[in-house]
Amino acid sequence: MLCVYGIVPASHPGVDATGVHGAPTRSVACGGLAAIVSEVEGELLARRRDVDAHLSVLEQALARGDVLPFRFGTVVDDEQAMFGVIEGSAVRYRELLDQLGGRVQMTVKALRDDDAAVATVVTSNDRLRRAAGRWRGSSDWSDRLALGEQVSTAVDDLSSRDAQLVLDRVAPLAEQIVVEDVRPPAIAFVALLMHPDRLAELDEAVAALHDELGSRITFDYAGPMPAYSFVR
Amino acid sequence: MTVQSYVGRAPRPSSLADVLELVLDKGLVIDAYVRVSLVGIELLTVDARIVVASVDTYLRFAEATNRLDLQAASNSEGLPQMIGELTEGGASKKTKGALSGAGEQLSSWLGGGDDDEDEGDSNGDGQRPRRRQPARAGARSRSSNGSGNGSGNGSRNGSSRSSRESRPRRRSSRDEDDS
Repeated sequence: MLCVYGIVPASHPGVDATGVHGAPTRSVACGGLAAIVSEVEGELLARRRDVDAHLSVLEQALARGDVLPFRFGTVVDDEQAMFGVIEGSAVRYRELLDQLGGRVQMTVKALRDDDAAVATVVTSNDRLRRAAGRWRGSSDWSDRLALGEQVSTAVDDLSSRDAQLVLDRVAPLAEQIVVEDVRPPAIAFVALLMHPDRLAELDEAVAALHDELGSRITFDYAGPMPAYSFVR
Repeated sequence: MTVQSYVGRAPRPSSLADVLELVLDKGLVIDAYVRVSLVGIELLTVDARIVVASVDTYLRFAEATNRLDLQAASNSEGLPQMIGELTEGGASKKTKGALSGAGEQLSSWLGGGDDDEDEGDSNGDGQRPRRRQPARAGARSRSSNGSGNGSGNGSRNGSSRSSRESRPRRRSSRDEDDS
């Protein structure tokens, strides 16, 4: 079987990387397109080592040209099957390469520090500060719940505003964005499709957000990576 | 309190859950050609997002557990080892929804709630071949009831599962057995 990493234009120089299960990668060309594949036997598990190999192959492919990333674990029986897949989807692959060519994906994830967020809302809101002074340390359940509810609501509001600020700052730098669903402690997670020559601007935007939002938000800022979020 | 003036950019997301979500939930697919399983659960039958959410939850619990000042030196495995273990041993519990699974995972990491640790399991290696079986069964039953919040049938918590999960196993032992 062949494990499939991505689709590249036929002009792409290919990669010489180690794929999943330590197998070397190669290209299977068909028409004006080529697939980057490696031989794979047996069951494919999403082990860290193999997931890292998948990412590494695609990162090298991106460093050398345009690539449409496949989901981890995509396999075909043999080269003949690969030809069939490429031929069957050639129009779509070419469209995607036109849209995504020369662009990279960046991801910006904002994570809330609950302690810092609570400190922010309690010290900046007179009503909450009074409530905290009145109820803090109270052994009465209803008092503690009432305080917790008010603080929680204020923290949620603050996070909504913070998330909107993050979006407002980074989205204009991108050609396309995908806003992902988030779960606490994450408050915002956005994938950006952009030209690499705007990366310095994004670096600055994220650094400025970091300075403005202080200790209550930390950022997980990653890329350039293949356009995983934009190939659907 | 230190304030960084620059936010570093990494080639990849720093959390395992985000990396998994990237490569398991995004990217091109060829219908019916994705044949990957994560910790023994076929992703064709269980939504990748649910599995990833569970991993995320486990890691948060693991980090919270790390912050606890546990006295037992034997519990001092770092997060990298825990990731290996969590993504292996956590398989069957993912089939029951993140919260109940995470609770079990936490209690097993804290070494509590598993009095039957020694039951039928004096030989650590002997249990390995059975490991994937419950996970598969769980994945199937989960997809059939269609809900992530199954109440976790108590009778499934048999001694073999509990003893299997209660013992931290290092990632390397798993890596060896697929050669």
